Amino acid sequence: MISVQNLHKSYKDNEVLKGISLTVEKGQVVAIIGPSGSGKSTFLRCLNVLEQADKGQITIDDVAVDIANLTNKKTELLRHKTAMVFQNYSLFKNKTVKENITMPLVTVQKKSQREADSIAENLLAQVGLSDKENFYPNSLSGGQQQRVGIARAVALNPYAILFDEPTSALDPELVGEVLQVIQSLALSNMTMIVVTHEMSFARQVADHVVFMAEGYIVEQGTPEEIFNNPKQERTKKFLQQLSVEKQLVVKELVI
Amino acid sequence: MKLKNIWSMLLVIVVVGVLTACSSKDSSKERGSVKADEKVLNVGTAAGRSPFIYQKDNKVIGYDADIIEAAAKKAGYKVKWTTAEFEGLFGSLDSGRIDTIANQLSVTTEREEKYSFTVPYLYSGSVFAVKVDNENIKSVDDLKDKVVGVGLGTAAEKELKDINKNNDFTIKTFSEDPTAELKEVSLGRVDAYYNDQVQVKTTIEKAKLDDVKIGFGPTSWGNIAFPFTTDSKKVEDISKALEELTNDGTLKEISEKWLGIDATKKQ
Amino acid sequence: MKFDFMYFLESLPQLLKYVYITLGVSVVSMIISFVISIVLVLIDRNRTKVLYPLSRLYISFFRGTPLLVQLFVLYFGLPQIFPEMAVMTSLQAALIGLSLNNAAYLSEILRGSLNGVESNQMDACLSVGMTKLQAMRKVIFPQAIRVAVPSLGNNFIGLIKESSLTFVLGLAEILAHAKMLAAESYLYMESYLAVAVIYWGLTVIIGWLQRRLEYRLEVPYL
Repeated sequence: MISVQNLHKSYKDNEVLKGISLTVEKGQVVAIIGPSGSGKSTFLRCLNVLEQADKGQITIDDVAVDIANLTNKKTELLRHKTAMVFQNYSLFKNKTVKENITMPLVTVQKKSQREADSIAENLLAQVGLSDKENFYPNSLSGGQQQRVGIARAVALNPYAILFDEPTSALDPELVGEVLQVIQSLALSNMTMIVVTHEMSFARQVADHVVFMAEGYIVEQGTPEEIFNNPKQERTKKFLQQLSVEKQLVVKELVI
Repeated sequence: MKLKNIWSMLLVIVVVGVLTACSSKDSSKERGSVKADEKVLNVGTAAGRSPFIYQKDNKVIGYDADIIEAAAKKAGYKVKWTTAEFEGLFGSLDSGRIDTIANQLSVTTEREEKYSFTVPYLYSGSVFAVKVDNENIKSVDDLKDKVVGVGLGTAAEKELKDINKNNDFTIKTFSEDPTAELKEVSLGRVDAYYNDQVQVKTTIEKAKLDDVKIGFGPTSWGNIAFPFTTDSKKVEDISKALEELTNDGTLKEISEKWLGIDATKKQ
Repeated sequence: MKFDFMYFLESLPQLLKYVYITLGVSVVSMIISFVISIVLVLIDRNRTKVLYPLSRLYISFFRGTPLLVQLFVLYFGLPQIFPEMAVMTSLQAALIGLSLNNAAYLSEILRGSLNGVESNQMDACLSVGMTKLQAMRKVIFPQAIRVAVPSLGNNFIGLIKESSLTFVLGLAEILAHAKMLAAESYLYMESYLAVAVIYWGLTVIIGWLQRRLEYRLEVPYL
């Protein structure tokens, strides 16, 4: 179980997270939606301790941490519980596709090179990139890079995978291949928290949808509840705005 | 990977470089082969002033070299040479790395305040060198409004400043290198160049500077001697040896061999 | 004035005998200064207490004063205050002086190159559980080096030529031998041109090695 209690985070005078509490069950897929600047990405980064929250409690599986007395050791333990998939892929540019996956396994998890290689080959086959294992990230398309990014996260065998807008930087025609990989992961019972702008994806794949705005969790529930019967005005406004924007885009395309 | 090859190649170069550097240092120690009971005289020089002191086939030779070798031998020392840039010689002397300097050093009042000199082993008279077709510079008075070159930090520079008390002419200083400075005369960048007469004469001959001649001089005499730090006990020994060598004619012989004249007397 | 071409040719092999001193001193100083500069740059990135202002002072001093002065102070000045330092040989002093001086320049080169590595690379390393040190070693540094190589090559070529200053300490490297050769023969132009040709040859070889290295490091980005 992932349990977050009253998480706060500020950058100087700007409070980005104003007391976030959230529970995610094992095997659950949680989608976080909301306008930009609502603190969604910061929340994920705090779970992975890429950013250190100011206060609050985080429990992931058997590691429970109070931010107030976070030690380096605790940071490390907490970080090992999750893996992250980034918006801009963030593959190691100086490593081949295969090395991107094996290097953390060998340096962090102390696996043998052979074991790491077989894990990498297996996962690359699953994401359909076996033929690219000796390529460098720069020579791959965005969709391919993101699939490697997901394989890298899965290889770590974490308790949960955190997706930070995994398709936002992709060209529209490449979004599908990445979502497909994420969807198949969801079916394999992996615990996932996905920050996303793809509402149809959230609706189809997520067990639980969280709507965040201005540093708060405004509303949460099943996809059905959030998309079809939002209770809060803020949620309604956000969803309306989205559909208006969508229509505008469609109009522009038609013209 | 090939990259690793480059790095390992570099590493090999380094190791070889260090080893050879170390071993060559050892061999230079051997060359000086000092026995425990033998007294050593560490002599520094820039070895850049033929025929006085220079290097040939990695050996320091010349007039100054022969003199200090002879004096050291007489006093029971073995000479160990150190070559370094002129600017570094006094630092080496002050920090005790060398006992004395053999580099045609003139005795000046400033230097005498800081160091103990031996008796002089050469009297140097400085002269003004001019272009070969220049008949107008025959005395100090003729230098009015002219430009005169001289080596920076040399005793000649100090003498020249004394001569030029009234600022009649302009002094241009150079990093000490007689050939290059005499070329300044032949190129017409300076009207005259002031330096030791033997130095000027030899340089003109050896560097085949056909369009430069000695205009006039010497106007004054300088004493050339070996400086020691004031707390050095070796200065007495070397001074005494030099006196003995003057008396038995050895010094005169060495002078005639290298300089063609007896520069151990004023003339 | 005539140019004695034969003497110029003859002095080439005579001077080449001493290339190992110039090259050895430069390569060893380069390696030592590289190690020092890594320490400096790590202090800089972590803003380590006490050490950070000291490292800035170090860099400021060694970049802000002439190498010749630094060599003088090291070899002649310090032994007058601490007599036990007089055991330092001119080779040791040259290596120490050049390394300390060059480290200041290298650390600035490395600092700039490290700043050029995208910040998401560090995020990625941390997110897979690597420590900062592992991240620096495996990902950040290799990427920074690629950017730094042209400047490092420049720096090394500069170092080779600056190593001639160590003759004031009595380390007779190749330029010193050219000077002495010139003083002996009075053939200045010939000797200096010979040594120039050797320096030039060295830098051409280094430039070639540098381009090969650059090419290797460029492979992931083609």
